[in-house]
Amino acid sequence: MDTSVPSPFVNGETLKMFVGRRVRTVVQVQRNESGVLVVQSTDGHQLTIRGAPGAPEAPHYIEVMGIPDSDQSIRAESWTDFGENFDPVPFNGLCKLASDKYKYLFL
Amino acid sequence: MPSQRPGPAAAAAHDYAAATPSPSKPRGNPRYSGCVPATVRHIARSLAAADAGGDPAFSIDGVKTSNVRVLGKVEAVVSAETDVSFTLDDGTGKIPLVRWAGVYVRVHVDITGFQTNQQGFARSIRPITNFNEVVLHFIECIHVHIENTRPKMQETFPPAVQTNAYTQVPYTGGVTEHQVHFAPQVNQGQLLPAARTNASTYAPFTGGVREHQVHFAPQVNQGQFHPTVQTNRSTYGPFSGGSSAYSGTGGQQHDLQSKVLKVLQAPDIMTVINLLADSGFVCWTIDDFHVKCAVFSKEFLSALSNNCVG
Repeated sequence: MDTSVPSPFVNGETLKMFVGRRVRTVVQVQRNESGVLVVQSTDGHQLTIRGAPGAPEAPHYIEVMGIPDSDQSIRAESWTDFGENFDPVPFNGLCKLASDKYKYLFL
Repeated sequence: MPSQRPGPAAAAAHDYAAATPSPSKPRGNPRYSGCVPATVRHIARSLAAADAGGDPAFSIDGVKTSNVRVLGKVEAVVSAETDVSFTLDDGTGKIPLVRWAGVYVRVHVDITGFQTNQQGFARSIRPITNFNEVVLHFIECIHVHIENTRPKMQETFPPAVQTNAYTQVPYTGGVTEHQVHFAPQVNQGQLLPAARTNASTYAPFTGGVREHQVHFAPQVNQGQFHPTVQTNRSTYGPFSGGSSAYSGTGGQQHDLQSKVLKVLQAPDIMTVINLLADSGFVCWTIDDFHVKCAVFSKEFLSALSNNCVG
């Protein structure tokens, strides 16, 4: 079993803690500006996602796995359509738990 | 010009098509509508017959279907970057299959092996269709970890929810019933009902409506203690009332008093129950000591997530 390269759950707030490291997050697509997705994180931060061709349109949620190149943008390596009925509130709670109190279960 | 006879494959396909004439309208077999069990040989011949007849739609025995069920042994698994492909041999033929191309799946795994030879045996593999289940899974990981690592009774007297995590049965949808028992406490003082979940029926939820039976029994006590939730640990020993409980601790009255103080600082379980009832997450049933929980997935997820926080 290889646990050397985990992908932590992040939201808009915790994204800045992992700049340069692979992360995973779920965001809601707001619009597509010439291939750059403008999205909203589960805690209300506006982010940009590059390198996610074919991503669905608003108001779909997508899970993005990639490397943040700043505290507000992610260079996507892959994405998964989580649909329109995804509940962002539990995911936001999970991000907090997984990055703080129960970090040792995830990283 | 000599007549051109069809090759063996085409002839076989033609014969097979003749044996299974295409109806003027598609016939449906309600028993197997949607997913037809078939052998690999039968599928291969049906495909050949469809090609020979120029029929773009796949049908078996005249039944138009795109879903078949095969059963056989997995061979030659090839894992690529975007999918996993393998060959299934059912004894009548081998069919190449592709699966799990970037798909989230839920897998029940039996962990085997030792040291360098650790591996998992996948007992059940199911694709995820409701992605709230992804979040639920990780929250459940935290929740079960919390329950399994609660301090033992001798060390502290925490308000904990008893869960038998070893018998958790993951659930995949529909209605699930949970038994939640509030175990009686016979103590000095008035302990409010204790809450204990009979987690032998605990079933993580992934969709639909879940029903919980919550039963709690009155406390026969002297004094005023906040409600406690019984921890399901083999070493747990509830108070048994009077000085006998204290004598049973071997004279460790100071430790017991500190435990009691912690209990007094514990959240009022009845307050929580009433809050849940007012919010519509639970409803009273046969008497004041039985409640039933009926929540939808989003509410349950939020409640569970909030329960893990702090």
